[in-house]
Amino acid sequence: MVPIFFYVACAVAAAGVALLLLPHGRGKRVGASVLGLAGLAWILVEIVGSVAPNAGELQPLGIVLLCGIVSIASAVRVITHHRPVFCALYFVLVVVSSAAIFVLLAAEFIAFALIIVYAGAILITYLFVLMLAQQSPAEIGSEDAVDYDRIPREPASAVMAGFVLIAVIGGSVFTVHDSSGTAALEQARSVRQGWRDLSLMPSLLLEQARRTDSTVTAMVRRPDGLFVTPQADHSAIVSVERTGKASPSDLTLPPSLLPDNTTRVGIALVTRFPVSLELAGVILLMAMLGAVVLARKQTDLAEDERRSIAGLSKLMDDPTPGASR
Amino acid sequence: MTPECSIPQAVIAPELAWVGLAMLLPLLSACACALCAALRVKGKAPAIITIIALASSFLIIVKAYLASTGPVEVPIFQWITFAWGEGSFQSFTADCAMYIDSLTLFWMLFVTGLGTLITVYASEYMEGDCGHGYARFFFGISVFLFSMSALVLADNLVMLYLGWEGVGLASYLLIGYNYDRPSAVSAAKKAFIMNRIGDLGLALGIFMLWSNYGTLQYSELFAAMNQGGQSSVDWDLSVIPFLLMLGAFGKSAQLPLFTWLPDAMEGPTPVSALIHAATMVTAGVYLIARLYPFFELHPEALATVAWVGGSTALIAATIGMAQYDIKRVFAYSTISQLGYMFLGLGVGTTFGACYHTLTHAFFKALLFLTAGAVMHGFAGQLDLRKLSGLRHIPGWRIVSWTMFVGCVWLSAFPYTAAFFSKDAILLQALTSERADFRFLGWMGLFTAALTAYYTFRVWFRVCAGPVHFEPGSEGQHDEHDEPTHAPASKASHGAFQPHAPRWAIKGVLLILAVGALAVGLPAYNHVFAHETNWAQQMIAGSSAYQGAGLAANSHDPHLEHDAHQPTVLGMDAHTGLTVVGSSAAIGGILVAWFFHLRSRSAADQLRRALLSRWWIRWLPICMENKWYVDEIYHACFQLPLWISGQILNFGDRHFLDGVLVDGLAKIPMGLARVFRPLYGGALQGYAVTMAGGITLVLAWVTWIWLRGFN
Amino acid sequence: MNDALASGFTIASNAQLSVALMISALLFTIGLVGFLCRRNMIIMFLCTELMFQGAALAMVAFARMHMDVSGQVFVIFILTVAAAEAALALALVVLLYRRRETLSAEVWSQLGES
Repeated sequence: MVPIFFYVACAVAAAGVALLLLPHGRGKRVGASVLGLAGLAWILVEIVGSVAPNAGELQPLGIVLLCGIVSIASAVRVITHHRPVFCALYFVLVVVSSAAIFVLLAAEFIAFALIIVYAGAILITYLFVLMLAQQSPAEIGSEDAVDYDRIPREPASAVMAGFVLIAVIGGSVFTVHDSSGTAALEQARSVRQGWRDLSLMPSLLLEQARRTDSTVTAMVRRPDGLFVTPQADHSAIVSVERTGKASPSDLTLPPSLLPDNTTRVGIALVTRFPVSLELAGVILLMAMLGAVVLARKQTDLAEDERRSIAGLSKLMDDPTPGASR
Repeated sequence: MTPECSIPQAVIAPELAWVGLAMLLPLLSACACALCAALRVKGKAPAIITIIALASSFLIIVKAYLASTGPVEVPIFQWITFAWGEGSFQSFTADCAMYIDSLTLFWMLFVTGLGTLITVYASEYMEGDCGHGYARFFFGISVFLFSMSALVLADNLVMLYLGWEGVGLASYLLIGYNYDRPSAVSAAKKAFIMNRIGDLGLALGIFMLWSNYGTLQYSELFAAMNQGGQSSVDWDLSVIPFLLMLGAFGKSAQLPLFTWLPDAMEGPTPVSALIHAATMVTAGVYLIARLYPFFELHPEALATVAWVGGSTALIAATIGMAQYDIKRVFAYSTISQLGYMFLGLGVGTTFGACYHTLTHAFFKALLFLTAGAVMHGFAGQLDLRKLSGLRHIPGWRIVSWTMFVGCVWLSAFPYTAAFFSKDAILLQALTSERADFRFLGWMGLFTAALTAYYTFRVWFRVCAGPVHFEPGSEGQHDEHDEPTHAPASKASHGAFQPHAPRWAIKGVLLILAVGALAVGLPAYNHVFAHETNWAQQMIAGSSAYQGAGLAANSHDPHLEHDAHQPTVLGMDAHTGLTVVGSSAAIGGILVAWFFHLRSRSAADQLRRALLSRWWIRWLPICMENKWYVDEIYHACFQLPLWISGQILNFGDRHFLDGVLVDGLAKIPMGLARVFRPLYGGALQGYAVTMAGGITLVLAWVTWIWLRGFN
Repeated sequence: MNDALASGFTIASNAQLSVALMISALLFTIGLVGFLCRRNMIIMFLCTELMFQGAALAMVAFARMHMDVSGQVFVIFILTVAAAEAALALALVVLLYRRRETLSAEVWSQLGES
């Protein structure tokens, strides 16, 4: 089935964005905003309509929709606002609203990392650079922003490309087959993976086991070499030594003892992606050095100055008497 | 059916190698002149060097003549020698060697002698160019003399060809001496190209001679002819004479290829006198005389030569009658006289042809030099309507009377040298057994009357009558800038003072006049003292003996009075011809006297009368327009070539270039025009392209994916 | 059963995921459009950050869909790259601004031959 209404909605939204990009008066801007919001709403309605949510899902879905609309509207403002500083500030809004969606998507760590890194660090850098490099409107002699901020470059073709892209990507959302059959299997695999992750960290596992039974003193490896054996009902069996008991005995851990989302990310980082983590650190270091080298004020020194910095004597100064003869 | 030949066998005489100096000295003087040009010598040094070199080579030839006994072959050095087998046709030899027999010496004597005299003349004539083109001019003269000597002295046809091309080159260089004048440049090109057409024939003829006889050395070729000259190849040998003939016609300005010679008068007058009247243009006569036996390979070859020569003589004479430029009149008379020579060769008297060459060389050189003196003195004026009464102007007497001598000789006045030489030719023609040759003889007589008319037309117009002259426009018409009297021509036009020639010109004119008289001596000796004509002896001792009338003589009335003596107008052939020829010459002179001295307006009246009658109108028009030969050539050769060239040019430009080359190039260009806006150099332009590309790929992938689901 | 699990192990709501994916696609596309349209070099880089944001949202949504944290780990790396890119790119922008005294990207259109 070809989602024709979705495409029409995309076109409406694209028209709204295109109109917003052009430098118009206030009235037209309001009209264009209404058009773009209508297109956006239509798109989201089409999407929600295609998946037909049940009643229990409506509340988180509503929050996601609300955050999404705020996020998209702010993004549109980022690309349409004539003042770069406002663009940056709108971008903070995008980051914050999408962080809310991240929280709803069980990615708390990512949400706050994004807010800290993006809104806190990167955007501040942007603002500083803007202030360093921006010509003030007073300098230009006009109330409004400078020309290259006001007048977009070929908005029609850009919006056209974006419209086609969103139509193609969004079109694929309509054809995602029903994954409810495989979802349970994936859930089981994911839970197993959670228990195994804990098994890689015996002290953490021991801590979790003590929450169930405070007499546990140590973990004992199971016959397969791991510390846990996941069960089909999401629980897991561990072998533990308890105080006062000579031989290890089994203990069933409930699913609630599975690691929470942030812990899982941390475990995954250190157990499954340690090299990538190190590389990311190196990249950040090199980027910092590069930025320092690039942005440094470059001055050309004469030969003598360089020599004097290096602590050498000047080339032509103080010729020894008689050397020139 | 080849006639029995008995060409004198040449002996090898290496001790005569000093004759080669006659060739070497002009070459050395050419090098010296080139050096002078490089050093920008201001004085007359090039002329002096050239005169010394040429005079020395003349003396060497004289010494060789005195020492000569018979045909000798003088090897100098091996030039081209290579063999690719042992057989007779498997080697090729062309040595730098000389074949010296009486024909060679005969030719070399007047070539080097006239060359020396004309160089002396030119040393004064060209003095206005001292420091500019003076050295270049004498370089050309030296190169010409070297090439001509190589041509005549050559021992084989390869060396002859070298000289043949060398004289062509020298002629080209000297015609185009005033290379800043477009007419001179085009005349030089015309001469060069027309000569190439003839040279193609000569080259093909040489190739065929080699492929038939396996050698190109005269001695071996003549030996082969002595043994009957049988064909050793399966094709018809008779094509050889026609090919050689083509070369001779080109070089000697005969009928199909004669139009370059009048244009060649663009060169300085000494060049016209030396190259285009006296020597180079006789190379064709020399070629035919030298290879005379080979012209009997085809029975009609000599008849063709005779017909071409006779008709050239007539046509050139008719054109000459209607020209106003003195040099052009003389140029056409040269063509006409060369036609006589070919007529003589064709009807079978090599003696007559060669003797006429000799006499013609003297009186034509004399006439050109007098014309040059006039031109020199009157700021380039050569129009015979604008000059009159020259002999009454002080300082011009010698020029006038030497010109008179030349005119008398050219018109073959009775008992002048040219009379006898022309007589020999016409007699042979009129007493021939062939009716067409007798017709050509009568045509030649008519031409002789025309010759006398147009010759004296010049003299009566220019030298006789009331004194009247208009100077020419030095800068445009004259062939050399003479700073000494250039201001006189324009600034003070009315008070123009003719610039009378000095001793070098006058002396040379006098010597030439005496020489013109002197070349008649052998004929007087023959007629009055009944001794053998010297020239006839010289020719008979060579490969051209066939028609010389001494060795294999059967029809020569000068020596024998046979019973079957042919007659002319009922009289004894000799007497009859003397009467007819004399009356033709005198009649022509009288007509010229009437129209051009006694009542000059009558000439214009006659012209008007001819033009007003429709049935005769074509005659003066055609004569004044040179029978439209140039135009016919233009229409027949140049125009089709031009049209085909335009067509090919169009096809090349619009099809090959336009459709194939440019059209192919336009495909990527058109594609580029579609995509060019995407690559304007701006970062975002590229980003748009990238985004569009990614979108398209994504759409394609999604489409495949969707199709997989449905 | 789901109640006993931490949120990351529950089966995600299909509608929520679709909406999140759609929002991520829209963020990416708007970032792209902004990158193509804006002339200010700093804003262009800000738009690339917007595209990063879209990509990160998609990653998290898929991670949630498959209940696997690899996607979230990937977002951390994206964050790293974005930070490095922002540092270097902004340094370059400052450098370019010193050269021409303007932030317009048009003055640097010397990549083509025309």
